[in-house]
Amino acid sequence: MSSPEFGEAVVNGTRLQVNATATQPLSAWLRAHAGCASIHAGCEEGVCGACTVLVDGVSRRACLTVSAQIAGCTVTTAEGVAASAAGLRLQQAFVRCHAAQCGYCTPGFLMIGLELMAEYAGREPPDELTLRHRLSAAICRCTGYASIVAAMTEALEEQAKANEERAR
Amino acid sequence: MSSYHRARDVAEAVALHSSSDGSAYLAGGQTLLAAVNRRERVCTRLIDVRQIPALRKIDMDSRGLSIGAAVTLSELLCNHEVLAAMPVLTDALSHVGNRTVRNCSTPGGHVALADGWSEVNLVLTAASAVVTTNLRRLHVNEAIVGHRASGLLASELIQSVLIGPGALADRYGFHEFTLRASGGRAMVSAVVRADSTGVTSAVLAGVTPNLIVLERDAVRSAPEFLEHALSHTPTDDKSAARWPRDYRRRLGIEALRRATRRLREQ
Repeated sequence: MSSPEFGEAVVNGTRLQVNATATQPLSAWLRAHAGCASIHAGCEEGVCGACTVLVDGVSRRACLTVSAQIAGCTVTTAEGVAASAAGLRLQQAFVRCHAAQCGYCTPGFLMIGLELMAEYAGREPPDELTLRHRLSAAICRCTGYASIVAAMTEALEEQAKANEERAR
Repeated sequence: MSSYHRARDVAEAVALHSSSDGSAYLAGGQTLLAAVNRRERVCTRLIDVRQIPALRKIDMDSRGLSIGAAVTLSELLCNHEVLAAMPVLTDALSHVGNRTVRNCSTPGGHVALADGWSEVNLVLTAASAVVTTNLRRLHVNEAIVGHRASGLLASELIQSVLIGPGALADRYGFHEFTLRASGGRAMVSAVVRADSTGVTSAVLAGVTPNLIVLERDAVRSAPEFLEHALSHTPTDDKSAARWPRDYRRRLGIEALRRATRRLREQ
């Protein structure tokens, strides 16, 4: 029996038909139908943050979103990070700071980072405490938080510097 | 086979819910979908109410502050009018989960689930909020009768919560103890409410599974009151296994003290 179709969604720039069962988590649909292998369904109850995606620019747990809910929305996963200048900056900072250890949590942190980059575009970067509060939405079991915080800080500072130069 | 429906208005949502057993309203989904994933709950029909315009409104008028049931906590935290009217919401809501959770979590969901640990329910109880459903208006204490015990009917849909002008005129202090510094699970939290004559009431979450409401005199004798409340807590209370009764009592008293101090600092 084929799954019902709920409408279209744009996933990392590609228009896709959302065909899923009513309660199928977005995490499962993205892996199976959108080729997004970066989505890691870790705890499947909204705690680990490894499945975090951006839906219309806002971070959400893909495990606690049913696929049908994204019809009409734009979804960004780690596969689509490098499509924007902010995402590319973030990706490069992660590489420079060795912010990916085993890599399981990295897609979630990148999504949180991308949301932060958009929020702080044209503003002073947040302080470390604010940054750590925001990063608490994902868990790194390699305990690589120091390098993740360093990468985020670097990317946000670079963005602020670039904005400053553009304004001059 | 289960089905998913995106309701356009309250009437459609309620009609869909009433016509099938195993229906569930879906707003933020942060608790419901976790329960579905854990196979603790089976939903034959999911009714998505997030895009019903009536549930997405925030109104401030002579009746007070009305918050639509499907407004997300992140949206509330970005609304300067709401935060100016009720500054305690900034303190309390920023303790709910983390940013990603708050992007989905809604006040309607917190009330409907009657979570005794919820910071949203704590503040709404302290502010004596009124809950409007498709059927009636009721005091938040009637909608939340205990931890995970809702006073609402199965197909009743929360439309908004109203914080009256009297409650908006009062001052509030909030404090929460969490398991870790950021994004941690709430252990014990307290809201203290005061008018021009002084502290009028306080509400505590986490000391017992149910919210504890202390009126003016009871706030003064909180240690005895909490001891009494704890002695009437069922022994199968889950949190009792994690934190001893006396520890929770002492945390409750300290949370009250710090919430009062926060109130005086304003």
